[in-house]
Amino acid sequence: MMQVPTLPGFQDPVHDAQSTFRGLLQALAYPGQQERIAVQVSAPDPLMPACAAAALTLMDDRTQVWMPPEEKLEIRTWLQFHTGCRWSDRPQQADFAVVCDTTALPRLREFAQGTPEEPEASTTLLIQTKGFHGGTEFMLSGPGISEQQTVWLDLGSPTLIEDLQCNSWQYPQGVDIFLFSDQQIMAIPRSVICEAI
Amino acid sequence: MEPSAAVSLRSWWMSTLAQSSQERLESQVLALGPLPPYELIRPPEIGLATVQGRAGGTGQRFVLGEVSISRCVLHIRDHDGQESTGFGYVQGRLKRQAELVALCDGLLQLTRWQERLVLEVVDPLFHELEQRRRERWQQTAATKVEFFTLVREQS
Repeated sequence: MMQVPTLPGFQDPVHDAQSTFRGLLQALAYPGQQERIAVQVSAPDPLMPACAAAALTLMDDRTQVWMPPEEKLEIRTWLQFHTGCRWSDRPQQADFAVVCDTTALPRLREFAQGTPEEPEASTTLLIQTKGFHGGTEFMLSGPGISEQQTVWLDLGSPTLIEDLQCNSWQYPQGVDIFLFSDQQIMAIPRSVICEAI
Repeated sequence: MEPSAAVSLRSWWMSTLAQSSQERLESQVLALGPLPPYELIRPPEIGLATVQGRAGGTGQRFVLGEVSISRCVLHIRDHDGQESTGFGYVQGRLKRQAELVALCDGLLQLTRWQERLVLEVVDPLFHELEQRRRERWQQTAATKVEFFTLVREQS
């Protein structure tokens, strides 16, 4: 039997999804810049409001979603109920991946990278971070960035710091990443060259 | 209660509530007085479902068409702490009715409310539905035509 969550989704599904989508696009267009998603969502812990809003906006019954097996069942129940998404056991097959705790994140190359003919058939990762103030300093450059931009990312996973820097090497293949911190989001698409300083 | 008995009981009240008119449902629920608070998990929304049929009930399955459906899910917490999740699915663009059905379904799953709900809401509505069904059956039965095939004589 399908599990039913005890928490609602968007309060105003149409407008909340629209404004969240706009925020996600804006973040993708200007990699490394912080965008704010102000939509109110009461998501189960430890899913952050912005990450929850992005998941509700992007997923539907045709998307395969992967989550680390360690993540709480409550989050799966909630996402499944409100989006109708399907779960994938293997990161390789996922359209989206939701990761609340970066220590449970596999190597980025384990996710779908797309093919040279269909680069869009890759995984889009929604990753929750500890914040955009401490941690590791990165230098970003590429489309959407005027010359260079430095950002601080508190990723909490040494392999992710390493993998972020390799993500652009096989462009146009690779994964697109949305990073979340409470209500803030930042996008690191595959087009961006990312170097730890 | 056995699982199968519980399921058939629930499907009974679900279908009764979904087929009753919105006005009747509203007035029966209103007559219950103050209800425990509830939260909408899935606010009432309208969608489409594909209806399939079989010719004569046994033929090949085909798509008959689409039907609009309203649905709603809510979460009720009774004053004694018992919780339940109520579902409402009704045919048509009837958001309020979907919510009322979900509310009744939620209440019917609470031990303190079940008996009262069955006696004061579901039972009366069920009898009205039965009455309507019987009237329609009688009207149709009066116009029934019997067809006979005459066996041709061997010539």
